[in-house]
Amino acid sequence: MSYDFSVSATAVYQEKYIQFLLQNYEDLNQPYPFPVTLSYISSPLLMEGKAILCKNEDGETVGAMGYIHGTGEQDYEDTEVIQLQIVFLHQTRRGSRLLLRAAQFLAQHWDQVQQPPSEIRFWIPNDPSLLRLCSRFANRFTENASLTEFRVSFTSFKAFVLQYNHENYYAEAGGR
Amino acid sequence: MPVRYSICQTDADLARYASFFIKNRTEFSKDYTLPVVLMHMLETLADAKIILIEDIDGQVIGWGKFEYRAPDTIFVDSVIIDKRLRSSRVFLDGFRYLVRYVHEQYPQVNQLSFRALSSQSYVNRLYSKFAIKTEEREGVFELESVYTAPLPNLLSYLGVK
Repeated sequence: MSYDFSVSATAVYQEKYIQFLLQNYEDLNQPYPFPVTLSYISSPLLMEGKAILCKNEDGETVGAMGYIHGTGEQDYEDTEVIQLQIVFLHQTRRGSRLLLRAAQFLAQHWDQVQQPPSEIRFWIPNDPSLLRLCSRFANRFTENASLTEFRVSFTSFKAFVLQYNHENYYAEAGGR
Repeated sequence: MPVRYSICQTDADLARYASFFIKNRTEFSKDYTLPVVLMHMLETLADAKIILIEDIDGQVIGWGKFEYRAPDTIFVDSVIIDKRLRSSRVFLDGFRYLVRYVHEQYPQVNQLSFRALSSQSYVNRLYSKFAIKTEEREGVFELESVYTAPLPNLLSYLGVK
């Protein structure tokens, strides 16, 4: 199964992103009250950032991702740091290739932007198999009762995810 | 048509409110772009309560958003009902639900205020049937009016208790 990723450029597309996440709200499994979760999933639309939707071959939306540039501690001036705010795959796609494809898309997407990031940060639920998976390519940084923060240099992230068989999403645009 | 009114209790309910708001946001005003609506929710949701209106299949067909303002007021910030049901009993029954809820849950409250965008003549006409205009002010995009009515008047207007 091949997947189609696209980066939100229009208001219509941004609306699809937020509606997809709201309609799957319970499956997002966020450890925060609704307004906090809403601020995380909205931030790619309200701040310097991007929302990405993923469709399967039948054109159904099966995943969404959002990220922002910069961190709160640095007043978002450290734009070379990327914070993934949400990565959500539809229940039916868990354990499929989609997670790897999504990571490969992000690596290629960030590689072709004007200023590729230096570091990627993300938080994942304290689920043993997810923690094991992420520890293979990123470093645990902090953790609390429900979440663990990982950080990884963009170079390492890219090398890790692109060592596997992948499509070239930006090939025609002259991607590196 | 049977309709269900309830106060949002769970985050899943709030997500349904947000989804309906985003989908129908231009019913308020063409200025309600996606970022405007998201910011509005982020700024106001922590203090707000939402009445969710659902049809018999559990589909959201509208909502009302209100908050308590000390010492004695419930401020009804906004209300939206699916276009096809707007002139039906849905509004009146929801209004009754709200007033009964306020009466039971907020013993210190003795008046309700309602916000209406000036461009929405239908809403202004509706509110002026049971409340008087007590304020006119600059909103984010346009003039807004605030209508106020004493709680006892609303209870008798709606035949509650």
